[in-house]
Amino acid sequence: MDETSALLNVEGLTVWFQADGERSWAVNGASFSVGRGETVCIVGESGCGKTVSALSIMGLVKSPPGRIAAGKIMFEGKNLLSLTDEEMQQIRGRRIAMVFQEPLTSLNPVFTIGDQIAEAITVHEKLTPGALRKKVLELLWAVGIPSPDERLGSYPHQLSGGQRQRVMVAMALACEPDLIIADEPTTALDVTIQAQILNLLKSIKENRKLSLLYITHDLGVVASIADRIYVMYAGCVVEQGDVGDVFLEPRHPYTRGLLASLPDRARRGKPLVGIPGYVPGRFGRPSGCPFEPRCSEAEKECHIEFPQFLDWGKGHVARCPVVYSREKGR
Amino acid sequence: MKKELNNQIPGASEGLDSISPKRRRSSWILFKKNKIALIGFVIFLVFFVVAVLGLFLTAGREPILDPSVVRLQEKLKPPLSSPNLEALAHREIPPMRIYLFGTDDLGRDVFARMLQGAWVSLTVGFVAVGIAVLVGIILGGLAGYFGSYRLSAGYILMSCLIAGGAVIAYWHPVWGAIAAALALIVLAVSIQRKRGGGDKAFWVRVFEIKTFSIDTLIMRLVDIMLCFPSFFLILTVVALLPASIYNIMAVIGLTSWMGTTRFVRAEFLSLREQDFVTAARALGLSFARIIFRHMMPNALAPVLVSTTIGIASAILTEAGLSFLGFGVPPPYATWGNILSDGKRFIFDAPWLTFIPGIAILIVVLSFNLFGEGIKDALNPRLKERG
Repeated sequence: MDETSALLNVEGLTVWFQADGERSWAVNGASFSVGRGETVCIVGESGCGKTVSALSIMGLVKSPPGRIAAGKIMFEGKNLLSLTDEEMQQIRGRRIAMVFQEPLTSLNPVFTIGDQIAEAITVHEKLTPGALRKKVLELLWAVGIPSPDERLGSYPHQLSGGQRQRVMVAMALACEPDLIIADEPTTALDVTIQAQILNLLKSIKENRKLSLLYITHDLGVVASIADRIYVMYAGCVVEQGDVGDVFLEPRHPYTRGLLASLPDRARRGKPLVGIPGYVPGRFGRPSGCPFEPRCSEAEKECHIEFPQFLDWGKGHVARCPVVYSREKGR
Repeated sequence: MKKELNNQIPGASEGLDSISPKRRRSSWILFKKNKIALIGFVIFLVFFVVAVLGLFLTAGREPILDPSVVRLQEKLKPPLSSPNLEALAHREIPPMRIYLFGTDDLGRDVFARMLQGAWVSLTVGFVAVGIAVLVGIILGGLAGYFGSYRLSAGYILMSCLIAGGAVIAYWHPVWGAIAAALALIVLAVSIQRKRGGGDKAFWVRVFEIKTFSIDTLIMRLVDIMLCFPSFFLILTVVALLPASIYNIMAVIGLTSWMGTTRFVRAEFLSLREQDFVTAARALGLSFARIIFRHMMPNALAPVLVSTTIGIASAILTEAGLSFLGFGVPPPYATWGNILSDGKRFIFDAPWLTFIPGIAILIVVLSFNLFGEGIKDALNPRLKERG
């Protein structure tokens, strides 16, 4: 994806949180881009900075304690980080919408879903009550809620988890945004509902020609919807490329570890494979490769120098010189 | 596509307002189960109707029941006694031909005076608590939502200059104007600061110093207000101010907002971290809308409970003030001053103290029971059980 045609282009995003005088780096120079009409997945373990990256794009990182220390978030050529609060309010919801992880708590318990969707519309558009109701019903229809005219008056606690997530999607669609950021929207749902929501997002993305930035730790989900993926570890992108390339030929030990840890029918009866160790809790800024302590391929140099992206062709790049030097020659 | 949709969906042209309030209904069902609270609610309604009726019957130039007609020949008549029609002038004859609650030491009809007093109690209760809740919600909301935001020195200086200037300007307009000018200078410096960039001047840096947070400011103010024994604070203020029913309302209101502030702040601290607030921000809603439309309704249940109980205590405070002679000035009758006037005749005419006393007791008790009932009805955990 060349940078000029990208809808969203995040460069060198760095976010830290300050607690008791200590800084912990949540995002550490992450760069990624989303083109028009593209579905991009950001994959990584819990705590690798996925959600914070998404919140930074929306300008929702709580400050204090959070602070976006460096980087640019270019959306249609405008740097979102330099906008005022008022300008940012115009972007949120109208141009970029977000679907959150927990549909159970992301809806306000005291209002009917009809009111909440209506509000999502009226924030940015003035409509007559009749037109508003019609549009709310259309949205509920579009996200596949059965008998929307009855559900309009329901409170969130009267809906199932999947229906609530559909309502969240309807709210995100309310102002026809150009980009939807979905932060693990299916994590809290069971598998059949997961598939339904995924199909819903896919079809909406196709029908409405919008871009989708999908954040998840579920590689199965990635395989089914992504065009391109970014693998994040400890606040930076370690590998990126088209979904087929990365899945078939992962070029970073971390990506390989993730893929190997998927349960597989062929390995029935054997213990599940994991990556030893944990994501570092507080990332100082390591001088070397952040994955080095857990890496099975680590060599001496890994500890010293932060690895640069190495090109594997077709936009597939990974930050691992060890694998590169060993396998590129072949 | 749109046409199709309209055919499929009945009532598509109606407004969103037609949505049925199911939640409210379920709370009502739960409330009805609580018999004592229901009795409280009924008494509350009766009191409301009586007070409004009382206003119509006793107010105006020629009221139907005149609470201020003095009939010295008919003084201290017990309840349910008939007037001596021969001894009274035509305009002195009570329209019901009976002294329902007797007469006082000046021969005034206690029933008419009680009716007049009911309206006073009602308005004092509601207006005072209205003021308290308004102040409490705004301050509590600010403290809870913007709690960790630290005020800069320049901002505090500016606020002090404006507030101080306004007070001084009352006596010395010139000094007030100087304060206003200084405030403008501080504002100008602060704006320059916002533009940022380049080297910052000394004063800009001084004004940028972060001091205490909004939360500290408001909650310490609450603590200070709570330090005063509020009844004596009210007595002092009322003694300084001219006696009028509006001053009483304002004073009671402005000395009883602290509880609400604490409630609302506590609710907001937990609500602020909820996902739906972040979701609302992600939709592009403004702070004011998030605070007042999304968070406030979630925080209102405890406020509603404290409101009903607050009304009861405001009525009690007003009665106490009137009893001590600091309340609503005569000739206005309030339950407190009927009680106070009657205490001299407690052995000769006990109804003069018992009737207003029992009225106060019943109304205050019914408000408290009603408040408790609402608290249970709005508790979602009880609802799931029921």
